[in-house]
Amino acid sequence: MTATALKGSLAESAQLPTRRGLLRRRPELFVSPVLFVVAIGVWEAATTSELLPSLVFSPPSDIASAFVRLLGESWFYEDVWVTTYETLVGFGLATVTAMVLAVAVTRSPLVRRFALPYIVFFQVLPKVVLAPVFIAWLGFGLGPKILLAAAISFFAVLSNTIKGIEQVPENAVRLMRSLDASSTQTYRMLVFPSALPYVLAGLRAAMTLSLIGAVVAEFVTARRGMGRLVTTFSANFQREEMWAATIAIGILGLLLYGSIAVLGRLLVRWRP
Amino acid sequence: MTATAATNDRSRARGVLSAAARGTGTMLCHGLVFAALIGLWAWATRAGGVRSVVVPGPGDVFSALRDVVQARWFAEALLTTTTEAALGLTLAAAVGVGAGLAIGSFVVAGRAVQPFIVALQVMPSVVLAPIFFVWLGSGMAAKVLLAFVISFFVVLVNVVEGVRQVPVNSIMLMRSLDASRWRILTTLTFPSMLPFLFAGLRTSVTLALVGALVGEFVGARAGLGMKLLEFGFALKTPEVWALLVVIGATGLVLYGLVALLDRRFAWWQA
Repeated sequence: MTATALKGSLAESAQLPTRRGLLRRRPELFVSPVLFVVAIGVWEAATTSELLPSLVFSPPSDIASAFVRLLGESWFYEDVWVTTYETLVGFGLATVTAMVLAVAVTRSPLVRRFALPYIVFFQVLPKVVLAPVFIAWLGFGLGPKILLAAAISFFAVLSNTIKGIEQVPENAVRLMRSLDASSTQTYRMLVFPSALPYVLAGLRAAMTLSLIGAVVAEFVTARRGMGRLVTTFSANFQREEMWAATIAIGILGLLLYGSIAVLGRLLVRWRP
Repeated sequence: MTATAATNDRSRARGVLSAAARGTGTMLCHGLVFAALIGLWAWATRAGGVRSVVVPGPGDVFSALRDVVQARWFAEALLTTTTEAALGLTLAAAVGVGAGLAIGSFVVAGRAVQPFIVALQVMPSVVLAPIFFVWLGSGMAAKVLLAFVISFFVVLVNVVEGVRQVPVNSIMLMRSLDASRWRILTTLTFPSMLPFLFAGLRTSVTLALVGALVGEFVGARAGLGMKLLEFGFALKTPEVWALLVVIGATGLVLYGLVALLDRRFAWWQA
């Protein structure tokens, strides 16, 4: 085949998206679902034939029916709400404090210089270990879960906001100053909008982290919540329900992440 | 010429000296700030009359730290948790490099698994802890698996990214020199992927430790995470804070080891 003929056939396939052409260009549209179905099928076959002990590795069909059962229970939605509430409040708390601190750190080189080692240390520290401390402070209610969710997601927002503020071009700041813009105006019109994409990347990561914080704190001790559900099912040998609740947490995570991603798209629509 | 060289040397020497002086000066300032913070903490807990169950003073934490380190269970707990995290991370690195090279090299395979990778990356994978506990029991295996799962996706995504950024021209050059696929993989793709791998490992080393600790929260026979909860429920707050110091130090040491390996094996990256 000559080069022009190849080019021609490429252009043709681009212009006429026949079904075969679509499959060839986007094989994942076909392969990914098949892969998923095959994996579930293998798991189902292995457990129903007792190749894997079905008591330990629950068959997917049983998990699916347990999931449907959970969805029919009214108490399930209370647990979902408790975890969502802890996650969102923790997330909000972390976002506000991290942004204020980020502005303080970037405004003053002195603060930056002396705060940075501590920020780095806490970033490397596995924050989940703070769970027992927060429980000692705030008891067995929602407080320690919210605080852990906030502590875990705080640094994701902080470091991204600092990065976002620092990448604002020096010349743009000078221009604002030469136009006699006040500090508030500079922040509102220049710094915040141009830091926004970075901040949003931090917020996306922070949302998942907040959910992790809430659920892990519920693992340690809780009265309500989805993490509590999982540990209770686990202790009662209700394997299928345990799986179903875990999958529900995953879905909640996807929904929360998705809502932040959508919000981000709406906020930075001006960016190409 | 010799005169200017001499002045250059001298000014350079002065530059080095003043830089060193500035370095020690900064260190001194950091030390002073740290000491002031500790002092403030000690003063606040004493003057404020805070009970050590709520916020222990630095003295309480220090003596608890001494007791904890000398306790008979300490070596075993430290070794257990560190092994779980290190083993999980090593597995994640090995499997992540293998899978990442495959996904990055074969376009169709990469596209096919991409949706799963994105979905699993966004999911909070620590919540699998109770499931792994049911599968593998209260031993170390469940924690190693959790540490592996948590750190795997970070490594994988970075390796795939590293494979995809290999310049097409370099690949074409090797191909025009009649290099085999394997040769290209080992001499071009693998080395140029290394900095990305280590960037991933720097993030996932903390995650692996989180995996080990959360695994121990859910159920364990030994380990720092198990001891932490034990002290927490016994309201031995100074011991809890002492363990926080130990765990933080462990995290820093593991991170330092990864950074060291990074500099050793991906030295051309600044």
